[in-house]
Amino acid sequence: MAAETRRVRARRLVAWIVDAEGSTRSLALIRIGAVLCLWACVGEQMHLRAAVGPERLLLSAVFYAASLALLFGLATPLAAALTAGVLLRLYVDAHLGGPARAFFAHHHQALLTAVFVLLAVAPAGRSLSLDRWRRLRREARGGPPAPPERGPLWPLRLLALQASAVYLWSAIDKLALDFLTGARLERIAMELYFGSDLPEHAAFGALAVVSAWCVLLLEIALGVGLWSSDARRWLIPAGIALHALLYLAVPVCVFSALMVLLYLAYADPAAVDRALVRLLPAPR
Amino acid sequence: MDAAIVHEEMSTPRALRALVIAQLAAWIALAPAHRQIFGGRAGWAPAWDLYAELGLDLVRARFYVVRGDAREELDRYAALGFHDPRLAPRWLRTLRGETGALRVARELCKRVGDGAVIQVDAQIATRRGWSPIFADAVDLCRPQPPRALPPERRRGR
Repeated sequence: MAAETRRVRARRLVAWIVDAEGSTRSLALIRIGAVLCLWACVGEQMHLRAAVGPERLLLSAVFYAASLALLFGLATPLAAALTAGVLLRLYVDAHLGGPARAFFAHHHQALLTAVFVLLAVAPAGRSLSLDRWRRLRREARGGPPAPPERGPLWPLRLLALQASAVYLWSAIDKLALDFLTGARLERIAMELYFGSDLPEHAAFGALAVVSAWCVLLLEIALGVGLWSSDARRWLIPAGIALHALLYLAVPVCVFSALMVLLYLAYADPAAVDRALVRLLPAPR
Repeated sequence: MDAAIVHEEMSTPRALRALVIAQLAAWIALAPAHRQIFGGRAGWAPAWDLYAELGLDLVRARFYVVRGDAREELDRYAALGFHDPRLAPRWLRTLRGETGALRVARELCKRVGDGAVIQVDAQIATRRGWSPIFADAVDLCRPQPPRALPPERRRGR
């Protein structure tokens, strides 16, 4: 009996990952937000004036054309594939010591690359896109009906898994003596703010230890708990507060914004849909 | 799992889809282990160890001048003529590694003059926390012997 229950649960889990379908609006919001993060993050370095040599020039041209098309949802699958291709090229180049190392070797850029690879295999253009608008116009002119704004949800599950992986691997990295004793936060504070003159008040050391443990426990809670709809209610505000603080205190570039954007991947797409309808009623 | 659709049969497209999803999920979930658990150095594997190396090698230090039996703490800024630390050069505000601490010590030696002894109570940021340096140094105005770099001081993984 117990084995049967386990089998049924396993089947349900597989179906939840592999077969589930739902609204594609969450994916569309992630697509739009991710492109804006991408431009904020590497837009300047991909500018044509920064392009040295024909390959880099081609890469810059494709980067801007594809990411612009992706922002508006025009030929979305092709645009997403090209954007992901450019980012993968930069990622490989940066991590093999190529010229991209100067501007594409940070964690937030690795995260952006992962997000765009997943968007390239997702139905990210079925909602809030020019593709959708064109299909609706065709339908209005008597053409074939526009497909519903629904699609497989497994790309969303993988985007959520990516966010959880960031939290949990980051927590694993923090299970080290220097972090747990507050020393790592102290040296980060020295590097960014104090130089070698760390405040000597005992309260500062205590604050470093308490902050370190709070961050560690919160990261573990976020990595695991965001999958639970009950826990999400209090974890999302806590996560946003953590990332806001990180953004203000440490030069994380778009990392904070991107992680908060990925919270959409955990949410039930139907709930996101309902929220959008509530937020965007017909003009009165 | 309310949106889930339970399929009892495993058709070929569904099996292929499941395989692709499993591979992507395995990469996302397990690839960081290459660098973060097994100590691999391949750059292609992601590592979510944000800011783990920021501030490594920074030194916090108190300098002392010893004259006879008296040991007196030195304000390194005031001793070197910078009454506002914000106007001091970076090497004086942020001591990086033994070299950085020694540079400050050398400047202090020049200021305090012959016969004075400069000592330091210093700690360096390592992967295992704060680690004392120059603990056995009697006088930083004299040349210091070369020191081996312990494993926790090496950068990268």
